[in-house]
Amino acid sequence: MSEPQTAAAALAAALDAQAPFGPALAQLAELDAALVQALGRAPDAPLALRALLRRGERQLVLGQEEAAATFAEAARRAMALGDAEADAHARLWCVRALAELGSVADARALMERADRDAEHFPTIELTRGLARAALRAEGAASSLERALRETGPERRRREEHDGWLALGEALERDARWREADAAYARAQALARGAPDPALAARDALIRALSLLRHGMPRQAAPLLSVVWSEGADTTRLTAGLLLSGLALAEGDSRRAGPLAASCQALARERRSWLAYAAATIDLATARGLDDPDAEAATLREALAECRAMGEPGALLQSRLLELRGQRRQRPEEPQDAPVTDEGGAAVEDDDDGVG
Amino acid sequence: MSNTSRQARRELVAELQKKAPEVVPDKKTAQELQQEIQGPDSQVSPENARALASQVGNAALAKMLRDVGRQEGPAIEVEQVEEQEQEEEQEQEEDEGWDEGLEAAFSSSMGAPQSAGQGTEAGGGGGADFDQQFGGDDDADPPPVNPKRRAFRRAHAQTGFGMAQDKLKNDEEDDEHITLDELPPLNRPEAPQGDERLDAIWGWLQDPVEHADCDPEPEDLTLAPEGLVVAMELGQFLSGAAQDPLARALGRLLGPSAGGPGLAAQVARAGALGTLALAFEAEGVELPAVNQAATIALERDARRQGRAAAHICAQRSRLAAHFIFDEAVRGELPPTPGRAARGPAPGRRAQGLLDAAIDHVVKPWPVRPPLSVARAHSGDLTADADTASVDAFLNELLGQGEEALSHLEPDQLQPLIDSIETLVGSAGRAQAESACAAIAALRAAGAPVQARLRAILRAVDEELREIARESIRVGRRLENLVGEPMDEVEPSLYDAEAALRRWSERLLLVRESCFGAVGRVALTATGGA
Repeated sequence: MSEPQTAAAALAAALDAQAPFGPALAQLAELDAALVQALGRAPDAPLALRALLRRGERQLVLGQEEAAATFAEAARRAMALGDAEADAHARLWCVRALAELGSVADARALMERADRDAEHFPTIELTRGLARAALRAEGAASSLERALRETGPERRRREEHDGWLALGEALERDARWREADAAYARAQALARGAPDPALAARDALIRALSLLRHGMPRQAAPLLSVVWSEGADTTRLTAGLLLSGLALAEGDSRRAGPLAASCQALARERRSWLAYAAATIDLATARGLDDPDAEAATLREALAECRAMGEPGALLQSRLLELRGQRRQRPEEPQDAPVTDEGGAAVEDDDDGVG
Repeated sequence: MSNTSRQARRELVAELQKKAPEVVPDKKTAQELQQEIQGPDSQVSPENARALASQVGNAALAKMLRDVGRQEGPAIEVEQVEEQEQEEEQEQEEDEGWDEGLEAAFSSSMGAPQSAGQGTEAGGGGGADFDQQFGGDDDADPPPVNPKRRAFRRAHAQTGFGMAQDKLKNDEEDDEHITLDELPPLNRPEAPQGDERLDAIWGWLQDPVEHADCDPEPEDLTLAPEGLVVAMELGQFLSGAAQDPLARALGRLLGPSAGGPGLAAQVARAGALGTLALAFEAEGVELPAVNQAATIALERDARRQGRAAAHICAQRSRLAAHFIFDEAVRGELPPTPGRAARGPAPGRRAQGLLDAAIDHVVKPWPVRPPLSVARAHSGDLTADADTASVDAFLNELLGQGEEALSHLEPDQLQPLIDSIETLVGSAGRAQAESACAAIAALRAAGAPVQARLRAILRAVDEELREIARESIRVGRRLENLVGEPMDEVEPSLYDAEAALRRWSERLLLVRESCFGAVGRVALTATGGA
């Protein structure tokens, strides 16, 4: 073997060992690209084929639309080599890439043959299950369950992670939500072990959302707390809004207040005005539990702030209207005099504006 | 609350103040009603409320009756639910009837001997007599189309679609809105930044009154407050079409959730989570495409509107995609002098999401593949080719060989004739579906894309008519074969089956291409792609 070939083989082996996780993904993808180019004219066709598959996988994880073309090229080379397993494998990858990247009709057209060919190769069952799951095809859950019974080599970790996630989603659709939660937990553990904290936080959030959806807020809360402390901005804000809502539902104003205040600041920074309204209403409600007058004051303050930034704050106004209604409902307090215009005629007081 | 019911309430108050004894049973009731309008704490006696309901029947009274029903028993609520169910059933029946009517109208127009080119503006083929035969009456008033709700778009806020509060603030003559002075000043919005660019759901939540209900009961949520309905609609779209697993998971959760009291808190949380789900999706797909796809997906009225307009067009014998579109959007948007610029083609992911949004709104019907001719007396002339071959094989095994047909009989052609009818009907349905897609895109993108959308529909109309014409020609050729020896007609039968399969596939392709083109046009209006 010549010196460049040896170097290429060594680089290929090193890249193979790096499952596509974590922040270094983009740099690894660049190395993949360089290796594929270097191996383009090399005599070691199987090595080039492996490099193409690996490059395609990283492109898919990064959401790059070229992934489908890379897998198609890999399938072409596998066919030229007469390697039926690699051919079926590359086709399945291609189906998944097309389906996940928006070309579902093309993916369906490719799937029939790829699925049939893959029957003979149990080692690519996971890729087959993921392709089926991407198309929401029948048999996705059973295929994934079969494939995930045993742990594969280190380089397959990302595919396994995606497999657990897809399995969780398929099980949730079948209302097998306890099993779905276990599958999500496996995905979360793989991401944490990679280590890829951002991905682990996303998995934890998906898991928490599933639990909330199935009426298990107590089990969801610790997961949301993890996301709140470890997640990126968008995941944190999502978790924070859900957490403050859960705390308020339990009447825990001490926990809800600071959470809602942090969410309010995050939402203001992102100019996410509906999140700002939701966080402000939670904050005001939490303060109102201790001091009834503080609720309206908090809403008014936030309304002034967002309107100064060009946001009308319609839902904050809605909440202020609700508070006015609640004040009227209290029997011990005197009712407001009927609202009248200059002519003394009664007018609508809930048509628009703040009371 | 809708503008209609608000208007009804205004009128009712005015009427009550003008003391109309024949409308209001007694003075006490009027005071009670006024109290009800001014605050949710007041109570109205059940008798008076019922008496008023029969004469007025607006949303406020419905709520009153509901409140009364809670205290006195479930009778009124049950009546309301039954009434609502009956309305829904009736609407569904009407929908089905419309579809059948549309297909029949299109089929009959295509089946006429002089049908080539009818109904198209281009007037290709035999379109010379279009005005005489199918021109309709332009001067007749169209039947009223249901009023539509429109979302505000932040991008439009600076160019005509003023936000509600801005409008109110400047409207000094509107002395009804006396609480306006208490609103802090609203600065002119800048160009959208950050999550402001994801305004698909935000635009539906800009009416403060609509989302205020201080003490919503669980039953109130089943009556579907508009804000929650919009959020759930977005969730339904995202859970099926989003490419990001987290966006899909959030989509499945959108709706009422745990939190503070009041409807506003529920709506705000659902809207916030919906926007965040869009933000997750926008991590992998271009943000303008995500927002535009969500905006299109929330145009729930487009389908109903398109079908209502198609019904009107069918009555006027002007059933063509672009006429349906014209009818549905007539007077809806102010005309603009220019056209939207053509932008670069969106990426595959963006296009996939836009296609999914249009599918979500239009809910296109499947196009059934054509059936085959029965070659022998199998006893079931509607069986498809596979079933017929299995039957033949089983009969052979059982020694029940069939008598081969010597001549083509009319019954044998029935499956193909049925397929032709279905295909022509599907082409008619596709006209309405294409128009619905364009209506949703127009509402999402605004007037500058109107001309381009209409041009797409005209092209689609020509294609669909071509498909229908060719299918009918195939049917006529088949009719001429009846009574001929089977040996001689066999090649023609195969040709006919192949042609129908081809036209059926082309119909699907035309519809998909139309949806894709409509989505791309909608995206160009945002300057994205």
